[in-house]
Amino acid sequence: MAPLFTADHIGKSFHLRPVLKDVSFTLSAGESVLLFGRNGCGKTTLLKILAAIMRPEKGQASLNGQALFTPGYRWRSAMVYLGHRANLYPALTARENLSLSLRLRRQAWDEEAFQKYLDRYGLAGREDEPVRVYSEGMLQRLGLIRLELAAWEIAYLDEPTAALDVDGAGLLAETFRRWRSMSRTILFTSHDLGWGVAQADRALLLSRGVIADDMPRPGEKDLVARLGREA
Amino acid sequence: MAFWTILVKDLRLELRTRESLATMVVFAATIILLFAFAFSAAPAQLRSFAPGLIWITYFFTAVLGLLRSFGRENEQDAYDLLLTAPLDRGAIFLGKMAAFFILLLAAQLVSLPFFILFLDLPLWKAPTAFALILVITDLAIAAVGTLIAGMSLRSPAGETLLPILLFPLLTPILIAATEATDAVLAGQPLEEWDFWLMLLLTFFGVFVLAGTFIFDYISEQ
Amino acid sequence: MKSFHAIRKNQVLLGITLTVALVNLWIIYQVAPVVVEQEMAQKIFYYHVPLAWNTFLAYLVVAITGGAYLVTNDPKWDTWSLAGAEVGTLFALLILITGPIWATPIWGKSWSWEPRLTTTLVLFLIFLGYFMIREFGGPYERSSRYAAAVGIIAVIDIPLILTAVTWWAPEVQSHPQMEMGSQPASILNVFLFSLFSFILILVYMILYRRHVGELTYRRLTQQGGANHV
Repeated sequence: MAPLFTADHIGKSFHLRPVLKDVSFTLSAGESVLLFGRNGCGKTTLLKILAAIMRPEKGQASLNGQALFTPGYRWRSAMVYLGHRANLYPALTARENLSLSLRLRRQAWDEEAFQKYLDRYGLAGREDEPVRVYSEGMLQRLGLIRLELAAWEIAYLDEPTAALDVDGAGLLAETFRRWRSMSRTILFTSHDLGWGVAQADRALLLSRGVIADDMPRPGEKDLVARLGREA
Repeated sequence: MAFWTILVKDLRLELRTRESLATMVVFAATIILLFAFAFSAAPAQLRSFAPGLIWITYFFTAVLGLLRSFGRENEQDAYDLLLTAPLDRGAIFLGKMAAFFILLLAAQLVSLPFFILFLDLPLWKAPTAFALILVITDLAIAAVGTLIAGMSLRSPAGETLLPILLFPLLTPILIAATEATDAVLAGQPLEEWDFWLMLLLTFFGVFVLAGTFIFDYISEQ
Repeated sequence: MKSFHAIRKNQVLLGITLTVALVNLWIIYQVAPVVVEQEMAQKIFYYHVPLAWNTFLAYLVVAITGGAYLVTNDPKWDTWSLAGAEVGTLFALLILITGPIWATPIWGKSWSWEPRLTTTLVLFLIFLGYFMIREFGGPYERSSRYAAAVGIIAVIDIPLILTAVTWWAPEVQSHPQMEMGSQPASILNVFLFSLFSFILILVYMILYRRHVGELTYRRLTQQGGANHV
């Protein structure tokens, strides 16, 4: 089966210091893949490049046979991104923020789904407060509702559990399962390797600017040992 | 479509907080007062400087507004949402430009009474002519301002770079707006100063086009 | 990579440029007629006007290669842009110096708001901003892109600035000596030769600066990055 997503020889430097040298990998539909590596190895940079927030110096990628990083914007319609910070406007309410994100994607508002997910993520009744009063964890939950409401095939999540409590992490694990059953593809990072491997079909080790290892169904100990050898 | 979404978003953010409008108006009033003191308030002298004072004040005010317009995008990395979304980056430019234009115009209209009061300016004698200058000049400032702020305010030393880059680029605008305002205050008919309006319109047209094309290349990190 | 002057064709270019420049100097002071009311002061126009051409041409290089850099993301275009910007700004500074040198004896004051001189001043300031965003605009790769955009915007702005300052001070006439096209053939021919000489100098300087830029880029890439900012 042809892979859903292909990244070819992606490279990116900061101040002429290469962070990503030659990153190539593929993802299949419905796969959940953990991107791991030491601090500063370029995990966030890679996700931002794929999400069209950073511009790579070299390399191509394709999704469903359609080339990414091209002029025009249609190639961005099948993907979503959730960063370290929740990508929201503090002065707007939760409802306004999410309806804005859907309008930017040319999608219609679905009040029923909105209420359902508010309920599921424990934000029911808070939807008309400006999100500046939200805690970090609540912002993260709202960011996840943004992904729930959007239509997409591939999601890039940067440390989605960073601000979440135990309940939230459990909720997200269940969400990941549901997304994978919908044949959606997830590429994510997590400092919590135990949580990460439990949600991942595969783990990609990013080290010295390349994908140094591709580990199918690893255990947490495998990752820790592998990271140790890389040091 | 995306243009409207972004325009409405920026205006809603402003209406919710009113922080830009409030700071811009108070800032404009403060600057006028400083000018009045600095040029010792002989009314006749002050009036001959007035067109220049008005527009220098509005230039500074514009920088203040741009700082907030892009500051909001950076607070929770909301700008990433715009970049990831399937929309033309030119629409981001146009939407933010239009919203900033409306904000700048509003701030000017609110602070105009200070000019009339402190500088003793008979602007009400030719309201349509002055309104025309105001609108066209603001369009031109908004076009270049949004384009430059879209770069400088995404970089570490952005707040200091913005006026350094913006003001020299805007010199034609300052000259045209000042001269046109001068002509209006001197009671000249439109035919004698309409070439300034043409220059302002050309400037606006050129930089709206340039911005729409260039913005895609400068909006990513 | 070889140093610039180790390359044969660059040696030839330098030789021709220097020879032409010396011949140019000799023609200007020995062959060209002395304009009666101005005497030697008029001679500065054989420098001043070609300098203006050079500035404009250099900035044109900045805008064109900047556009190519934005579209292709190829760092070679960025070294061209930087070379054009530095050389162009140097020439702009020389215009700002030679203008007042001429104006002081002729008009009795150093600065006049003559449109082309004023435009040069504004451009000079814009390009100071250009170098600042290059230096402080974030990571090298990003600030290079910003600089490319500023270069394009600046060049688009040139005709608008010129129009505005011309209309702004209509009473400041440019001196008849400035209009090289309407000079007698004895002066025009000397001027054209000087223009040729200065364009050679421009080409040589941009090529040289670009070569150094390329070397710097390679060295920084090899040693694993620039350490500043």
